[in-house]
Amino acid sequence: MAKQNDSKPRPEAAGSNTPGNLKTAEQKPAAARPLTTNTGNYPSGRKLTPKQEAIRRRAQKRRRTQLLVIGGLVVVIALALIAIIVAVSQPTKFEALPAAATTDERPLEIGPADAKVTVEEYGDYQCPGCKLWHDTSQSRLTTDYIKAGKGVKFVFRPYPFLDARAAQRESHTTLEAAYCASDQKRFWDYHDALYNNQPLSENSGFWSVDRTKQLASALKLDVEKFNKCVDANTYRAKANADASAAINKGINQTPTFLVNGTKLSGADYSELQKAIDEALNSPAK
Amino acid sequence: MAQNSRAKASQTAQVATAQASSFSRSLSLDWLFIGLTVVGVGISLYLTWAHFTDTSIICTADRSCDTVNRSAYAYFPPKWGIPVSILGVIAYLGLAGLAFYRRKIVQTSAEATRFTRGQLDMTLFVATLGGVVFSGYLTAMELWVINAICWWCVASALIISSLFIISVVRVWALD
Repeated sequence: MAKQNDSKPRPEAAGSNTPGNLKTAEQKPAAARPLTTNTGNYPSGRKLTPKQEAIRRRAQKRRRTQLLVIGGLVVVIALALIAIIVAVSQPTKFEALPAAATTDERPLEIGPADAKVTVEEYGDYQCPGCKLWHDTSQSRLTTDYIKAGKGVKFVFRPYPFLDARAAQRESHTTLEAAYCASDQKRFWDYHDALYNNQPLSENSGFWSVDRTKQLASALKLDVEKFNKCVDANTYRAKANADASAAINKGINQTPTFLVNGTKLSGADYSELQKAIDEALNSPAK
Repeated sequence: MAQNSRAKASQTAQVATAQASSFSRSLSLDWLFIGLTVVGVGISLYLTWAHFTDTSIICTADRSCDTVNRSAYAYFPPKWGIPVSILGVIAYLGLAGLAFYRRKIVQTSAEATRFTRGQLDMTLFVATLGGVVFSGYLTAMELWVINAICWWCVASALIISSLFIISVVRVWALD
């Protein structure tokens, strides 16, 4: 390329333009000239004197060094910035995600549809007591009564209320997301993951809509469908209706358990066990 | 005298040959550059179209292209900015325009435009360097944040890298 530029015959080069340029090249201290203005200072189609040639070579060498240094700096800075952005944008690491997906038989219910005993839990995904019960008693209930085939079903009744005075409606956000997961028959996986990843404090801002999407992705849901469902606020009205329904039912705290419609006073597993056994042993449903 | 003129003639012929070969090399490099930008425009237009019409992109079985094209990082700044596919269309069209302009002024070979050509090569270098850096950012997000690789994006990254290499060669060779 350089050769081409040097050797190309240019009739215009004989004009007043070229000697002026040459003069400039010789007179100006080389270091003062910016990178780009070095180009085109030497006429093509003419032989340079050894001195001019030496100046030209030096200028080119300097420009190449500048190119390497500036280019290298830009690359190093860019790599550092990219590394920082990647580190900052890392998606949340969710805890205790299931190894394999579970498909819901019915949304928000586990156990036979015609079970003799129905255990209802009113819960809020932000409620620490609900998490505690989920962590300690949920699997016991499933093992002792549902998987054992004793004719018990468990129904989750959402009662989103802990975010009532918060700027971010995290009880609602999580519930609406769980409903969207339910559309894909993955309510229980999502429900479990919400409790397993409950932040240490309520209304902390952890459960943003984005994070519910990340959880859906981590649970390998159809993210596209899920995101559309969440973005369209598909279950906003339903979540609000759930809260109203719970209030109308006289529920004033979470978790609250009902066994065949009878409200229990606490959330203790032994109390629940007692109530379930009594209901199972009673003649009528 | 006769010998002198013969020597001159042979020198002119040599210069002409060297000139012709480097000139054609330069032209083919020009065409390669323009061709790559055209492919880049094509890819970016396709991705833009898919983005706005919500169409699934022709992709590997895992549909990783849709994952990438519908992620937060399909916008710059992420989530709310301009779709990066549109930025791609603009960037490749801009580079194609500059490359066409460069071709035009190289062909006119006027001394006054030589200066412009040097600046133009510098501009192309800076522009493609910016493109490579941006493409590097997008690829890093694909690899380490979105955890999905979109082959259309990889193709675009390879194109901008090739354009950058051509630009480096040109700036390196500036006299």
